[in-house]
Amino acid sequence: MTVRALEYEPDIDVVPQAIIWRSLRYCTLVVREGQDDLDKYNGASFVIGNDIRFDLRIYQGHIHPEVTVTLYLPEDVRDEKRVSKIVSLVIEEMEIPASAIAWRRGQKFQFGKLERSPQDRLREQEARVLVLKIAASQPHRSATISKLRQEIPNYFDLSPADRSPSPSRNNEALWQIVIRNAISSHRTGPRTIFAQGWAKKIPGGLKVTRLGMNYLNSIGFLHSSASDVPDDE
Amino acid sequence: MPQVSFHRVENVTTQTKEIARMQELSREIWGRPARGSGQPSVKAYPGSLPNGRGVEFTTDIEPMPGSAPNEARWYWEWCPGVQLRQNVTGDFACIDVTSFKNMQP
Repeated sequence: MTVRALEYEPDIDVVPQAIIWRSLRYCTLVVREGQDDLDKYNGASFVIGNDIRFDLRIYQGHIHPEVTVTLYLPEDVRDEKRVSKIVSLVIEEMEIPASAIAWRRGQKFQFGKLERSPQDRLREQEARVLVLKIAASQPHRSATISKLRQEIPNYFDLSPADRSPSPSRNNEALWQIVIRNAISSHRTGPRTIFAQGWAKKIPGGLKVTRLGMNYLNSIGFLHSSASDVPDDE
Repeated sequence: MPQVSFHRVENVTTQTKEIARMQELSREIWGRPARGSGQPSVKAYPGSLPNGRGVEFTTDIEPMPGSAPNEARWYWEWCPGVQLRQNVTGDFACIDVTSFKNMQP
């Protein structure tokens, strides 16, 4: 299925159903400002298929608004099993790992308290998509490895585990090795971003292909018009 | 057990200084239905007002369901203790507060 970013806000009340330990910028570039009875917010609306609508929002008063995003479903989706199914579907379709969910409906909580899962850190599978997102946000859809490394902390909240020294390279942190592996030309297999045709190698970095832009469009990161670019390969 | 504090931040439509003054006098917080909804609710952030202008309050009314760790909601009909208020502009959910600080005079 495809996650499609919508231009318009929902015309129904939406209810918070999960909090994801990822920034809004990590999830999508199709962001608009809005306001409701609570406060101003930055957010985006999406649809999966024809009928599963959801919103991602950050309000200034949310907990850790710079690194978390709240998933809202329409107010008429009340059955907890259905809510749970949709939350799982959303993170799967947006390629967000389950470890990123800091809270979801059905879990007990204390107001004002939110903890990141200790298991949540940058892994290679997620890093592949992340470098693609960052490169797609750069001029000419291209980024050098050093640019990617510079931008990662702006998109992803690096955990203490991510920042710990690599066991194999003393002068690098674990997350830097993960990024290196994610875009390594030595890696083979059908799941690399190069094997899937989502990116091509350029000197010192990578460039996102039209196929890659289509893929990012299909997970809600870009608006559909963003993938309508010439592929100058 | 100590009561949880909640806060609302100042805005030009639903949390003006005039509204804050009314809240202070009445010791009630009112909330409209969201756009497209017929169900009025009061919405607030949990915790003390961190900085800036707004109001801070406590209430005996449990803000469930529809709440989350970062957002409290009191829906009329769905949360015991929430009352319905009506005026010329429509329906409102209403909660009584047990303490109130007006920090947007």
